[in-house]
Amino acid sequence: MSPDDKFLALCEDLEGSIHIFDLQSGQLYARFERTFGTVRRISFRSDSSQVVCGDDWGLVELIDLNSRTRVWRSQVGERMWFPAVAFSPQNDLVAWLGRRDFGLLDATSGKDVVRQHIAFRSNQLGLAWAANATQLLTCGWDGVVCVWGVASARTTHQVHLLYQCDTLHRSFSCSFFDNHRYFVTDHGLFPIPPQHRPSCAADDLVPLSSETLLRLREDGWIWLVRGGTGERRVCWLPPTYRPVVQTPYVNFATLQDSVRLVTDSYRLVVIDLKEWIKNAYPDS
Amino acid sequence: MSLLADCMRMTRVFYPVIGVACLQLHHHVVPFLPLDSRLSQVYGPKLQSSIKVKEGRDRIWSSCVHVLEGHASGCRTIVFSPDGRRLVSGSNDRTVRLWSVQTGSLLQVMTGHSGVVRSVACSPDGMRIASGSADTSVRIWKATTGLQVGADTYTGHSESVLCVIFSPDGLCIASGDIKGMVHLWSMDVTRRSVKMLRSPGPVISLAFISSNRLLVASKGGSITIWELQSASCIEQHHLLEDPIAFAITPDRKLAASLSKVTDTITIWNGHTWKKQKQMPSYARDDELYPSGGWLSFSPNSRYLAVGSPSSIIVRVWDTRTGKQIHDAKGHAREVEAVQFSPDGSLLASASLDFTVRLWDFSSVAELQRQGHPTTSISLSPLGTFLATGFADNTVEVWIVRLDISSYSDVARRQVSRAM
Repeated sequence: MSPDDKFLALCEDLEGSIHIFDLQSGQLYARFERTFGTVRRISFRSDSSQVVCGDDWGLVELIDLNSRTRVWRSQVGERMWFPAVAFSPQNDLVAWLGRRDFGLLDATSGKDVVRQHIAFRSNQLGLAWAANATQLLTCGWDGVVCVWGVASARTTHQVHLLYQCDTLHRSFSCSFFDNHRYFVTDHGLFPIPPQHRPSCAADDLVPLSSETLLRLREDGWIWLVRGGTGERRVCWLPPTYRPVVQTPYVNFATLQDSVRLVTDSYRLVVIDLKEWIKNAYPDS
Repeated sequence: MSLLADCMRMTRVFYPVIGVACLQLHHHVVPFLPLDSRLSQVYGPKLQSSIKVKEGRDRIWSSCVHVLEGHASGCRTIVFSPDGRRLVSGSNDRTVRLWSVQTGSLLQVMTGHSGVVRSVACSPDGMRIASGSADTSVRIWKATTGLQVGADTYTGHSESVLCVIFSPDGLCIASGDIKGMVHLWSMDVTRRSVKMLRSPGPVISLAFISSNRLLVASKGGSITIWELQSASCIEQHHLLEDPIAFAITPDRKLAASLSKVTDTITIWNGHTWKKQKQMPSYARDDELYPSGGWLSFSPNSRYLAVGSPSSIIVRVWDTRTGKQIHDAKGHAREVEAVQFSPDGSLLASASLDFTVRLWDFSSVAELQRQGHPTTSISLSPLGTFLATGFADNTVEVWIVRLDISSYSDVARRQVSRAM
């Protein structure tokens, strides 16, 4: 869904078209035919005027929603892998993550800015920008999360590995948290050493965020993690209540105080944890 | 009695949580008990929990009691220990793992193979585990420590080992490879004797039908029974269907084969080799490697479990009627092996989705779920909308209010019409 909650992007399976729906009216806003590849990842531009898609042919393409036209298409990864894609916060770059490499494309032309091999054994799955676009996070099946410096990528055509952390848990997604002092994965929060944080990170004197997140871990336990102050085990999901193992990033969503997931047998489950959280953190 | 049965089922399913929070069952267990279970009906109203399953709660006990997670790649083979308390799995990740059936916990990880583990076997006393691999070796492990027994690696095969089995007395091992060679070798490293038997095709199944007789089934349809003392062939039969999987009951009353050519499972009389029943196999026309693991008879020979190759569904057939009585859905990728527990109460299935699942069909009467299955879910960035996709090409968009208990369905958009 678009950042302003205006559009919903849907992709048909098996070489299907991309459909953009207006969420207010429920009407089809635009439709883009495709002849090959199944789109697996979509990222909206921050002003919701463009959308970038990655398909399992390793293709990334940018679509302009105002003119309803395809702007460019770039081959970035190998076939049979769907690259993660993400607009930079300033919308001038598009980051993509392949199986074992990642890169930046110019958002206007689709041309390569930089391409970097990631020397880990397992597949890479998650990608996230820092708010000031100077750093990128990548994470993968092996649980290693990397912080990359990309500030000078446009001029030097290079990126730098600043910090890597083995979380010991496979990760499908990652993002910066608590004013860039932490990163968060499917498992929980991990601190970033001060010297490796982006310049937009908050000073350590700034109080820790009291934001809470719900995380479903591999052993079936749902944990509540709270900015820097620790974690609490909430409840354990029996196997029939778990999301599909291979693709939890499309089958698991958390609101502030509830969990929604699609089980292995394609059943929608909604778990309300509001009362539990209220009891656990009366101040929040 | 139904309450007692529910308690036993609850203990099995919720063992991981009972182990760490046994005084908080009202909190961790009661909200997830199936609505129609006696346990939920009796204790649900009395024990209030701050956790609420607002939608999608199970109505009855699911057939899946454990998901064994830990392998780093697809699981190829499984076997129960003779007492049924442990389960051994072999994987593409080159490891052999030992699991507790009661708790679902991982007990041992056995590393050493340099290739995919294609077959595992448990000794009659349950103390040793044998594993055959694509690296052409057979290794013996101690079940208690997970360590190899001495440097006991059998390296007589020149090709990928597909089957491995202990003799009934546990003193020797039979192993069969993809070239059709069967090696029968003693466990005694210092005075190892080896007998070699030749089969016309890749060995898909081995079975001791007595202490001195070994049945060898090979791809191509040859069934050979060898008298081991003299290493002579005493029976030979040919199944026309070119099977890729084969199983036989210990009493030799029934045998089953799975053929990709005819897309059928055939149940045979194990003595006369006459066809008894034939059922669809649901095998697609993919390139399949031969394996005995796709078929497993229940101990009383009444049921046949089939991990349809190329399918994510485990099917259980009644061998007397030829009717399918259960299907177990849950694996995200193809099922590679199935096996009934020694007492027949559980069925294990190994899958390319990296997991092994344990199924209990004792109280299962799968209800047809209402509506179409949900396939994906997504929350909008501002938290205003929640979209869920369904298999019937529809998407439901929900307005998410601050009080999530009052979310409302604003539109069920018939995306299929637009598409």
